Amino acid sequence: MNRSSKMRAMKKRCGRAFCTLVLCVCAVTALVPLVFTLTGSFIGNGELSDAYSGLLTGGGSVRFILLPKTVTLDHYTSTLLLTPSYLIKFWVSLGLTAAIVLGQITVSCLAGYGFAKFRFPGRNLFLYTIIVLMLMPVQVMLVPQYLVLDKIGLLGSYWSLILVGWFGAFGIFLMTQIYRRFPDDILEAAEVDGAGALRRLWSIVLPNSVSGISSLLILSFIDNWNLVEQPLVFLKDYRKYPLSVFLSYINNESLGAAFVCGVLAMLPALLLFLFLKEEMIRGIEYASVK
Amino acid sequence: MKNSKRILVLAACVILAGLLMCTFLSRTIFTAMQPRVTKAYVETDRIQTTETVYGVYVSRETRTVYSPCDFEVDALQIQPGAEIKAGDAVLTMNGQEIEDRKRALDLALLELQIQGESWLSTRQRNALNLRIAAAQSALDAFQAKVPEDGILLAAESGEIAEIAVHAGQRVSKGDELYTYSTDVNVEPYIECSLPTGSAVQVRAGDTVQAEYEIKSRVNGEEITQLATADLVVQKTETDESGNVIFRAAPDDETVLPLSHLARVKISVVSEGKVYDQVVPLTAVSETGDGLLLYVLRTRDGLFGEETYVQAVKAKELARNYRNIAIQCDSVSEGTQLVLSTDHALADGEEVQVIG
Repeated sequence: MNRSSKMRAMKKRCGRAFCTLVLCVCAVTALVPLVFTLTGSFIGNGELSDAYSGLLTGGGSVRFILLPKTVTLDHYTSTLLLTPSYLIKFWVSLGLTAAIVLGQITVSCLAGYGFAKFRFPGRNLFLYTIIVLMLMPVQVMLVPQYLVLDKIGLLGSYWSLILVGWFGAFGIFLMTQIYRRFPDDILEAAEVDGAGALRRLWSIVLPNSVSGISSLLILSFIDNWNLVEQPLVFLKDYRKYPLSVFLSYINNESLGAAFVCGVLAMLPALLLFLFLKEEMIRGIEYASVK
Repeated sequence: MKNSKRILVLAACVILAGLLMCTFLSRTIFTAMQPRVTKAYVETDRIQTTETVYGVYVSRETRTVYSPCDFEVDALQIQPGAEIKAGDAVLTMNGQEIEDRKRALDLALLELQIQGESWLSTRQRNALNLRIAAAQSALDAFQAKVPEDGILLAAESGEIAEIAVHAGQRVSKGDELYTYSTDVNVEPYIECSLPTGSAVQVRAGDTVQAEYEIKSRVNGEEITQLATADLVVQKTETDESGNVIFRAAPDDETVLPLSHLARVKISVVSEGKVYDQVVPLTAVSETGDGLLLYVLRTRDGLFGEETYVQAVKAKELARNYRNIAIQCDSVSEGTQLVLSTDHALADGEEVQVIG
């Protein structure tokens, strides 16, 4: 008996060790780009060109540098103090994302509440349509969105991105799922007490769905913070492009600035995730677990 | 709120505040580091070209004295290079011969006058009167040209250049005796020539500018000053090589303080041609394949309208010391150009226009 229990314990330990190893490999794989971006922002121009020029020219070798020979703050100085366009792109990205996320949360909460707690003709049809839209790749929707925006004259302005983001299918679906689990008894009791639909939403449903809203906030923020196709297609003026588009246009001359902008681009999402990670996990659990 | 969340919020606020400050600071630094340029406009203007040539100041003339009659040179009182004044003795003519010649003219006149005392028909008298008049004028002319004492005097002051006769030589009427240079009754002028194919042209009546040196002594020290004068072209002619030789002198009674054959710099300005695209010379720079200039354009920037420069190439048509006429499809009359800048410019770069 002792032998079998020892065998079981050993198997358990081996299994755990194996899982740990696999997870470590995955963690390292996930963290390596982050570490190299951070390191690259402190490497001098000469060393950067030698190491990474092959990446941009399409030929030659690329050498990843973990420990640079010379550490310099020149890129930070030039990006943050001497060239305002990068910081302006950062603020444009932040403003755009904030506008989209806030609008999306508002629309998703209202639509999710409506789909979850009200019965109306065509409700299921609309919901399934939203699910189908959610499953479609973004690129499929670009052309019809472009045509609609062109017709209403919004092409070239930031509203073309904001309005499209407000009515995202995923947010509506997520909030619908979250509100479906909300007990109807409480809402009925509130209705009996004289609370209207919006009052019930504002006073009862929303305060109790903070975790769901937090998870939607983070997921929506990350999704919209990294917009590339939509700005390229809907915005005509290259000076209006957000930071995410600029990072796809780096060249040899702006390698250092690209690394610094990469660090800048990481910050808001990282801070938001650290702030709301518990709520996000709770929200996803709540939405998915029956 | 948990402590960790409070710290995160604080960190986020600090980071965002720092980035906001950096944004304003970088905008200020960027604006301060922008190139500052002054502007000029493309205009329709005339381009006059100036050609500078050198000429000589001519204030003396060479004149020749000819023999008034047939005579034998007795003696010479002059020699080459000598300065003579009006009335100075130049040479002595053989006296006897002069006397004989005068006597012959007197006798001829006397004979005619005696004939006139007898009766003559009107026709004969008229003919005789004509002969008397001719004889009288011949005598007068002889007396005017040939000195009674046989000493030929200089008519004007000057410097003897060349003597063509010698003592004891027999000369005929009209033979050259000597040449001399003088500034008496000479209107000074400047003579110069424009080379073949010159961009400028001169005509009689045109104005040219002369620049010359004046040397003077002040407190025992010799100083040289530059002076200018406006001259009017008096006449032009073309030599065999195609060079245009012209003569110019001051329009008024001004006498230039120059010595004979002094070198003078002459600036000839052409009438010029009108061009549609004329810009200041400092607005263009010369590159290997033509001229390069920067045009000022405006565009919508993130902070409102911004001014930037666009590099354009142009072809030179004509120039002078101040302006240049160009041919460029990207500019028209009234287009703003960069006249001067405090930094090197790049195509598309944002600039600040001052002045």
